[in-house]
Amino acid sequence: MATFLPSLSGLKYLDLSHNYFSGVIPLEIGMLRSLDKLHLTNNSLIGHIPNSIGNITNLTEVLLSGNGLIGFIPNSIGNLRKLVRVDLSRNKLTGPIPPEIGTMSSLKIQYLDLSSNYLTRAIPSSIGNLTNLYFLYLYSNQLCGSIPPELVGARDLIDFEIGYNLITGTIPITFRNFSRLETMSFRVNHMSGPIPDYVLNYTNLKELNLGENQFSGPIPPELGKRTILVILNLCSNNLIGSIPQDMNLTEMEVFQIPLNKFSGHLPNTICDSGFLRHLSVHDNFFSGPIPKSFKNCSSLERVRLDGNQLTGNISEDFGIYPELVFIDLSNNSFYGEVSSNWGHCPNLTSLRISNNNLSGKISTELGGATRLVELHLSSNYLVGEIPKSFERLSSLMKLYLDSNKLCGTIPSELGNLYNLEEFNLAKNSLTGPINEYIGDFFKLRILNLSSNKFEVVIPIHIAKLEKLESLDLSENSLAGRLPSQLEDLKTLQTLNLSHNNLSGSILSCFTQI
Amino acid sequence: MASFFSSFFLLSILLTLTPILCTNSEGNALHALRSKFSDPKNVLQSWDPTLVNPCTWFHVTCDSNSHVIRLDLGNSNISGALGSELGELKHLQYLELYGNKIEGKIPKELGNLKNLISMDLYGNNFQGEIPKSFSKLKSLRFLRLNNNKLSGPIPRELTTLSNLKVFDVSNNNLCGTIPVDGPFTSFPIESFENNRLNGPELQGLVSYDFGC
Repeated sequence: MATFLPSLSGLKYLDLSHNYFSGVIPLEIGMLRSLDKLHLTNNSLIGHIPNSIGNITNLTEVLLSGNGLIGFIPNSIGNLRKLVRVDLSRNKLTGPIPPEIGTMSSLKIQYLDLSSNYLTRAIPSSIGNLTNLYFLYLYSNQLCGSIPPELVGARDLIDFEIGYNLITGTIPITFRNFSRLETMSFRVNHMSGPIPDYVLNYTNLKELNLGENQFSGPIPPELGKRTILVILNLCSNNLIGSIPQDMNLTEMEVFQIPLNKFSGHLPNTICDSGFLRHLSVHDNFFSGPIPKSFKNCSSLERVRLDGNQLTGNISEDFGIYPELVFIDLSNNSFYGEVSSNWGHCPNLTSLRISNNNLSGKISTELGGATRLVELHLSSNYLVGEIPKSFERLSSLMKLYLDSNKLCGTIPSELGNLYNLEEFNLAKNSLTGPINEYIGDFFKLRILNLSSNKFEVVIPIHIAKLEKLESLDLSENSLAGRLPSQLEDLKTLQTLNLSHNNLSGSILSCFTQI
Repeated sequence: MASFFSSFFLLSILLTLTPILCTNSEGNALHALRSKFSDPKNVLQSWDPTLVNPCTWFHVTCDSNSHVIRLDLGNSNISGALGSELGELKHLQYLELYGNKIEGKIPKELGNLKNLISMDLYGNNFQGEIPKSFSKLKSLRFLRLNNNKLSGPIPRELTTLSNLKVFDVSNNNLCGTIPVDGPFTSFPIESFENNRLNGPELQGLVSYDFGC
């Protein structure tokens, strides 16, 4: 590149993006005095950004994203008085953000992206001088210190994303004046203090992400009233109190507040937008019933209510969800039955309702959820037999029905579940033999049939389970000898056959396992 | 030189549509892995990078601290190559990538996985040498690299892996001699067959990479 550059002194637009250029950006780049736009995005360029870049005073756009550039951002960048767009993201730049970036020189700048580098020190307060800044992306660096309150000088900011850093301190009070903000993301930092009540002023705010910090206090009621929030993520903080009951959720699509200390009830307005697709409140102290609007909340795709104290009859409170992929209701106080509704959710891949007070028989129509990959109904009071219709769940990888009151035998139809990797029926009242088709589960890693009433012998076909790592058949009525083929289970790490009626010799070739 | 205005237009579109990955560093590593793979059976469909961590992704298992401990992608019809990203999964215990069409070299970064108990890369199209860095895998019990296109010698350093119980490099293109120290005293001869190996090493008499 270096040799022909000096002759291109009239060049205004240089675009070499999306290629495989390697080597360094030559010093000679500074000789392109007429250059307006420099685009070198997505190449394999290495080395430093040359200081001579500060000589190209006509530059309006510098796009160097997606290379292997190292070293500091040259402070000569402060000489570029006409800069409008700067993108140095996805490189390996180190050192501080030069305060010169915010000096009187680049007042026209609208777009500044320094994300995904290794930048250190604090965000310079001089960025607050950039009155035309609309987009500020500093995420995925090693920035520390607190956010300078002077940043509010960039008062027309639309996107403000500084997540995945080491930033401490609170959200400055001055930020009440950011009236045009649409996206605000401070996620994964070490920030603390309250969620400011002036978020009410952010009439355009669509996405608020404060997840994985140490924010404390309640959700300010003002957050509820007039906002048009589409995405709210407060995951993993120290937040308390309840969700404001009149919270305006008319635009809400993604509502994620898990891993906090919230309490009270889920708001009745939760489904108001008709577009709610992702709802996660897991691991809080929510109590009370499921809001009535849940039954017809047909936009739901992913739901996590696990780890709370919610109650209600799940057969009545939940309906049919055509888009539902994942739902976890485990570790609550739900009662009722595992209804046929779940079998009518065509996209369902994960259904987890372990550790509740469910009763009755497992609906045979559950076999209709043919995309199911994991089914967890452990630790409930389910009775009756395992439905034969489970043979239709051909994608099933994990089946956990342990700690219930199931009876009958394991249906032979289950032998079709070739994808089964984890199979736990422990602590039930299942009877009959362990069928030989058990050997057909060639991907099985964990098999736990303990604490049941299985009898007769351990089938030799168990030796076909080449991937088996854990076998627990303890506390049954298994009799006869150990099949010698057990020595073929080379990957076995846990073997528990205690409390049975087994006899014969302990095989010396157990040393092979 | 490319047409300036059309590529500028394209660039602006790309900038507005690029989603920001929201998951943690282990999720990012897995997402980077996914982007290098061709996955016709869509086994990686559940790998949603907007989730806070990869612990609810299928074929990924985490421990109680949300660290990835298992990656189970055996027999999944996956092709492509591995990069260095798997070395980021510092708590990984089981790496199961057997029975696919993965090609390219085995990344030396896999030697960083201090907690690894089982590494099954057998039945793929891996080439190049067995990384010496595997000698750092002190917890390793199962190492199956058979049925690939690996070349070069069996690194002498592997004799320090005292926990190794199962070792299979059969059906490759390895050369040199078979180590006899440490765990290698108990591996059956079938573990080495169908290579260009010159038989067990004659200690001190023949260099271990004899014939390479």
